[in-house]
Amino acid sequence: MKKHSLTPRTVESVKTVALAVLVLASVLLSTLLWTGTPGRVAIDRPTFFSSPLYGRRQAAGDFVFPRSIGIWTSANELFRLGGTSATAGQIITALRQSRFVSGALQKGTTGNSSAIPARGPYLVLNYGGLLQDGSLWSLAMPIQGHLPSVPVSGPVYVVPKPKTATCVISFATVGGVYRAVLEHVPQLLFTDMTPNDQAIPYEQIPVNQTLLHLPYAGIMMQVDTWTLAEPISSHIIDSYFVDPSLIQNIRGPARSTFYTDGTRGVRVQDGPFGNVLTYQAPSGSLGGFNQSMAEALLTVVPFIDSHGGFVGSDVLQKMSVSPSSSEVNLQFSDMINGWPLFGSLDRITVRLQNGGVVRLNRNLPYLGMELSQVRQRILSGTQLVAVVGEKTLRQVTNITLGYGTIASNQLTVECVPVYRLEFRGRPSLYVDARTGKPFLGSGM
Amino acid sequence: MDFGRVKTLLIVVFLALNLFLGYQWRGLQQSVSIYAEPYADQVANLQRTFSAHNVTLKVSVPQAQPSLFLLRVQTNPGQFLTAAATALAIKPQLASEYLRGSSEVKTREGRFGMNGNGQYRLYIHPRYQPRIPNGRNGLAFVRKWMAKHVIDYGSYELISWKMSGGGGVASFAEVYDGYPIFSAPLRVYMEHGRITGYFQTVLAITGALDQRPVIGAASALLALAVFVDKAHINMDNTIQSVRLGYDSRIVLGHIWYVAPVWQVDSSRGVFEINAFTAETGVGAS
Repeated sequence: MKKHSLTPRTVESVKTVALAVLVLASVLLSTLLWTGTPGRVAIDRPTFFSSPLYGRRQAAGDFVFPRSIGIWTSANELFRLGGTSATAGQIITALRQSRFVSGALQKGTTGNSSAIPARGPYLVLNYGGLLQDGSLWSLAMPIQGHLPSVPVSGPVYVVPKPKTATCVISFATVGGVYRAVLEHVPQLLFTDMTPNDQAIPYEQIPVNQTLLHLPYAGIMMQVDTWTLAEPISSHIIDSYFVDPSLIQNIRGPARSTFYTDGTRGVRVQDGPFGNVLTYQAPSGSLGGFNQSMAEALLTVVPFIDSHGGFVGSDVLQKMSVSPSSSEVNLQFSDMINGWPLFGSLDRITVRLQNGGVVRLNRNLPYLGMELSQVRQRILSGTQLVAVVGEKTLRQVTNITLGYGTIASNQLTVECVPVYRLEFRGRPSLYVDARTGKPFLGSGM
Repeated sequence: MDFGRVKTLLIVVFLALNLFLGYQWRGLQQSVSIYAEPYADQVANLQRTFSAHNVTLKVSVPQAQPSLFLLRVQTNPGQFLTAAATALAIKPQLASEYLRGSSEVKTREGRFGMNGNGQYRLYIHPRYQPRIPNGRNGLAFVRKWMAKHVIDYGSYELISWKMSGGGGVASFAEVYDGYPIFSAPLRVYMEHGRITGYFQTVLAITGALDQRPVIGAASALLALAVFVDKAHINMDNTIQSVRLGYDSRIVLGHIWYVAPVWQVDSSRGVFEINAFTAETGVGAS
């Protein structure tokens, strides 16, 4: 039998092959380790997904307060406090610190007139129809013990009882007049009942079987010139998309550009003050879905905060619910010196459907810095009625004093006092409160 | 120099190095791997989450996660006369003779029109409405009829066939790369066993951008569950189908973009979940 043995040369050959395999394996393993180790990922977009807050962050409750507060004195004189004035703020704070004791619905006494206290002094809180949805009570007056969430038609009346530190609030509802007693009312409320320099004398003028509240004498109002501030639009546009790398843009007519990721869209187009932004999300009614106004407001406020924010002294101007289409519409607008700012500047309109924001429209430029102010005398209510004329007055449903805007260029805007005349079924008419002539402003 | 000994030494060193690298690589694999929830568990979790909101999941959840595009699309009003000739079964050169205004062709058999968005609508005169045979051959007959009377019929696929009372609708959608474009529907209307006409949107794909993998159907349904939870939607609802395709509810004139979506058909309405970003909304009903 032949004996087999490995020659030294064969052994060396095997060792050479084994060494080569081991070297290759070490290279392969090193490569796997190198490529398999997660490295640092640098994102080349510092403002990815976020928008700077141009205004100030606000809570939902900040928007549900009276447009104005009327003070009826014991001498039967009427004064107006702007809703954003310091005194009005103190009154609302005092009411919110009170405690609800008891309340009752007096059936059979429907109508706003029966809710009005027989004599002064008392306060008239004008919520501008916001309390028509009972859910907003919890934000308007988060009183300890809670008032029942009843829908209110007309203003809320507050009759103070300083001796007992209580007050009676009354308002009209569909089912009758509701009266409630509040106790532990802070003393500040009673001292604020005395008109101070923030209170403007008003009078009641009968027009078309309604009593309009207008300035009693020719008061002085500021005519202000403001700069227009404009945020960086790309940051705000990006903030409406979950993944901005998917954004495609399409140039449209009339200097408009549309940005979309196929699901959502943002249109930026030229307006009287500069760029106007309109956001659209898919909309479609989900049968049977209902949302209260309070729930809608609690959704909208953080949404706006994360897409540029509220840029002025915003108030919730209008709110309406449409159960048939699962829609809630809201409109926020600015206040200047306690007076409403009419027109589209600093106005934000929002539509919710199925609990989410499906449409938002706003001007990107907003009132920035006050450049100059001049005090000018305006027409009193009586003078205005005389100037407007009987024919126009016959169709008027309401008259409100506020500010209108004139954009001389896209850098500055002048805010002038105007009266807004509202009509049933047709657009409002604006009258220059200084001259009584029709006011043709910008974005009105 | 004793090369044999050096070789032996190198073999020992590389063997040790490879053992060390192999150990490191195995450790890396274990540390970077993520826990993948089994498909059955995902579906069970979905059913549990949905049941908390009175939603019943009565479909099988697809597992495919293909890479899709953001599509740039546009309507194609240029083929109006060809589409009209096909619909009314007349010679193309005769279509212009029957033209009324710029967007309607009317013959004895019916009329074919185009709206401002470039969408077609055919109304068949009652005397010429084709009768659909009873039984299982109904759909086959409709398909055969459409092949003759609908332009680009070959690029549409059946989405649903709904009959109620005396009427019904057969819904089709244009297909791109195997996936339906819900923004390009073709609906055939039927009444009392006859085809009465159709509505058609023809889209031309002018760009396919940003190809990337879509989220899975289970993730899309989870996004829907979150949407339902956030919106406090607790009405009784049943999910009847889950389908991947393209859609956009944002239509801009003749050019726009459609994104990949998971379309969830439920008894309360249609939900759409963007298959790239998982954004959820209520789609076309």
